Amino acid sequence: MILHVNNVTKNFGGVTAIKETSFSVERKEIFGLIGPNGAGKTTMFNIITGNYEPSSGEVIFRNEMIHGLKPHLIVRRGIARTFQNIRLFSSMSVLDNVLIGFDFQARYSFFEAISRFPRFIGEEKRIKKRAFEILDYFGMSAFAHAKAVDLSYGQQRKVEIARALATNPELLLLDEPAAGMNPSETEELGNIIKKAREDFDLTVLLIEHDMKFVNQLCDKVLVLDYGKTIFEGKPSDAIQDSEVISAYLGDFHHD
Amino acid sequence: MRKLSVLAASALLLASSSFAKEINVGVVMSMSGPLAAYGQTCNEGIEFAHSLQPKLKNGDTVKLVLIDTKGDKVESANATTRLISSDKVVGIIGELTSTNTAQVMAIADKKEIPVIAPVATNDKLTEGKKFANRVCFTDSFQGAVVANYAAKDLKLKTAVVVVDQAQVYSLGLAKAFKDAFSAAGGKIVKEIKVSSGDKDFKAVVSQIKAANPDFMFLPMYHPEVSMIARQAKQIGLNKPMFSGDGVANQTFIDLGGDAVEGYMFTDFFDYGAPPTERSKEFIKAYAAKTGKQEVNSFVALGADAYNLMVDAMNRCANPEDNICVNNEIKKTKGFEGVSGVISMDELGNSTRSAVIKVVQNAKAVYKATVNP
Amino acid sequence: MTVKKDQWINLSFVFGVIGFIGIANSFFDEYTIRILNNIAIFTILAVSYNLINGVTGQFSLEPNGFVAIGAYVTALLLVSPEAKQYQYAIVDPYPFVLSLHANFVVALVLSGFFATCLALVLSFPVFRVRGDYLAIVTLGFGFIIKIFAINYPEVTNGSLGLNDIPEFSNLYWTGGIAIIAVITVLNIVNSKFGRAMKAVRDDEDAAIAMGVNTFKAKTFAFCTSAFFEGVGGGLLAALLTSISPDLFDFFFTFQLLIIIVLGGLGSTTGAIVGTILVMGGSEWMRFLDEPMKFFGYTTPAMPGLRMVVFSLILIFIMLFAREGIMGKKELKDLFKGRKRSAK
Repeated sequence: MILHVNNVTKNFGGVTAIKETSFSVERKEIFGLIGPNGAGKTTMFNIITGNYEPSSGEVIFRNEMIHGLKPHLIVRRGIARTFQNIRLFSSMSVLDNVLIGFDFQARYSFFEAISRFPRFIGEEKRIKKRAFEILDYFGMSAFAHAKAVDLSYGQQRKVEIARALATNPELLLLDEPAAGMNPSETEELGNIIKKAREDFDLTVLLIEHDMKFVNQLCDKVLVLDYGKTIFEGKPSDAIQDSEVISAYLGDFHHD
Repeated sequence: MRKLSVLAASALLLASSSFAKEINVGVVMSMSGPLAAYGQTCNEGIEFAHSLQPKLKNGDTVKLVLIDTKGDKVESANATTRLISSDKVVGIIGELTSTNTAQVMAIADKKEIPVIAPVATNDKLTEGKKFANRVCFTDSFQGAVVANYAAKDLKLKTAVVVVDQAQVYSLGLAKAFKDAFSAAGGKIVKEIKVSSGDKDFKAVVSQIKAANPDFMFLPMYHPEVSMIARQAKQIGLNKPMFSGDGVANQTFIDLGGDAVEGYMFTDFFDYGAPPTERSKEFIKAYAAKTGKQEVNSFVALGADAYNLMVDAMNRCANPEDNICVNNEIKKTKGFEGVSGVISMDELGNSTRSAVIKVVQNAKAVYKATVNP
Repeated sequence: MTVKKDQWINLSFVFGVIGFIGIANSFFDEYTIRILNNIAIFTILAVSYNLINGVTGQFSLEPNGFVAIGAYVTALLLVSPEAKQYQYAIVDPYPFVLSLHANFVVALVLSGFFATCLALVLSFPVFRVRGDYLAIVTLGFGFIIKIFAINYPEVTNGSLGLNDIPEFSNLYWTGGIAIIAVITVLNIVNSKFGRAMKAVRDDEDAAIAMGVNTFKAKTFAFCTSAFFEGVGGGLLAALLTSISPDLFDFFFTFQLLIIIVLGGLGSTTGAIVGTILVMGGSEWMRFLDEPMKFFGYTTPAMPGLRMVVFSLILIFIMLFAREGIMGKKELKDLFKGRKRSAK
């Protein structure tokens, strides 16, 4: 297993957002984290990415304890994420957005940048080439120099995933990637994620509300409710579980 | 016959006017910004003196070119450079504060243009310069005036000095006073440091009361002095108080109220005791034009800066010769100015009298003249 | 390839400026040269101030503090011991102050260096916590430097300031260093460091999520700003030949803030344009302070009218170009053809 969340609890003041939750994600799995609003899914994400520290419990990634590390260091260990509300850098082009993902991998110093040493030129060339490779993969090369936020919603989502992939992750965290998409866009996205898993050797952990999407995509799901695990297993079994159904009453997107 | 003489007269007039020129004299002054009130007052004197004497002996007209510095150093530098290189002035009057005037003089000296400062009193101002001059007295003279008057005339033996760290004027005047007072046999029992902008001086006046000196010397500007005077009165501190010309204005008396009754200070000049004939004429003309009897020192000094410049220009065969004008300024002896009799020396400093005034019934009243 | 074209545009401007400096120094009058020197120095200050405020989006009020440090370091190193002896009128200077001496280049480098050191010291408490403390800390920092200058006359000669600084600054120095500053800032912006700074400005959380060390990005920007502000201060001291604490007040920072906002926060070209407009414009508008002739009627002199009109123009520009004159664009963007549209 590539990620093991071990008995994690998270308290905010008097509120317990997550209570003694454990789960494991195997390599190359597409793992869904689902549950009604306020169940603690995004909090769990933030704990894995290092934005929050667990009040108790451990997060183990590739046999290393990563809870307590600074977020940007966790990224460099191989965990990348996207955001529910697509947070692309608004003043920058599509290409520059993706390049940001590569930047910690560019090996030149501040002074080499100022004086335009050969190492700077070489490294910039190298990461630009890699950035275009990823943009090509998503069919977005033509938009490289367009301002990222001028694109359509679906295109922006692709750029955001491309940007995350630029950091060369082993584990990709997607926060409600299908939010705001119509059925055909959602299906396309599902296929892209499946294909990327193969081509980039990824493990995917995603938060989703759309059960059809989850069914189509995920190998395993974990259902949270008020910070507690109420089901872990196959998605097709999840929708038949009585506890899950009662937790979701009214919250289901079920076709 | 008539026609011919008229023709001849007009020809002569034409001829003389075609030889009469406009010569530029620069004025660098804080006309806007935090010191605008002082700067405008000083400029009022310059302009009024110019209106009384706009022409030189040879018929040339003096044109004043005024540039506002906003009280800022960078702008003072810009203004000076512009006056010298673009307006080709033969001399410059200005600025206001010693620091900005130092900036003006630094640039003008390199270009050999004489500067006459109307009110900048810092001792070191003219040092090392060849073209720097001033019509006011220096801080060391003013400090000595107070020290000697207190020690010899009033027979006061001990003093407390309060200094404003942030003001060049205060630092210079305090030092001069301390040196002169010690030399006259007096003793400074305490020196207290404050900063302009301070409003609460309770600690200060308590310290003074505890030190129990014969008198207090406050070489600062009127905002801080008036507040100290009030707070001193509040705690029953009733010692004679002295300041320099930094409080020589009506605002000080208004702000201080009855706390400054009996307050003594030095000034350059008092319109109630005009020291020269020229003074009397100036005050009369000024009252006729503005309706105000009272002529502020800054007005008188501004006028004298102008008058001295013109007088020096008149003594030169070619009034546009800036080197000659500068030499003549420095050679001036016994010049009858509006603010008093002025003699200049090689260093560009002036020897002149000071007056001592005392506040009586909410008015500044002339007490004595101290001659150099 | 667009990159080549951008380089040509920038290069031709650099050569244009160098040529202009050469011509100006030989043919222009003193007054114009002084204004050009001011523009060059304030360009250095503006493009570096823009790096922390505009590019990195961290609201800072630091210039007057770092410029003061640079000015005093350079002044203390350039004024001769004899000049110091007779200038220090409040108290005698410390012996080490008298012995301070260096040539112009060393003085400027040390000015930048000391400013950078102080910036580093400030960076640690301010940038390690999230929150907008930078503005308050830098505002206070500026005050502290000014108070230090006033209250330690053994070092700085207090409010009397330092005079007789040798006038080393000329168009070659100020213009040359301005070119270096602009190129340095542009090279930073067009590198991973600049990208990181912009990412911090646009969305700091997203930047962290992409592996950006945001503390490093902010610190690099702040220290680079400080360095050039220190050097600019040194050049200013050697231009005015006299400095005093009252020169480095909040209004000094405010002037720079106006310049970079007017030019376009985040644009280096904008900072240059803003400097030229503000420094050149306020001098050019002096005619408003003098009597003016309108159809035979002469208005009286109104000192201060210049600043009123200047403020009105500023307001007008900000109303119609809310992102400043250049917005976030650079020079090369003006020459681009029709923007590629996103479909």
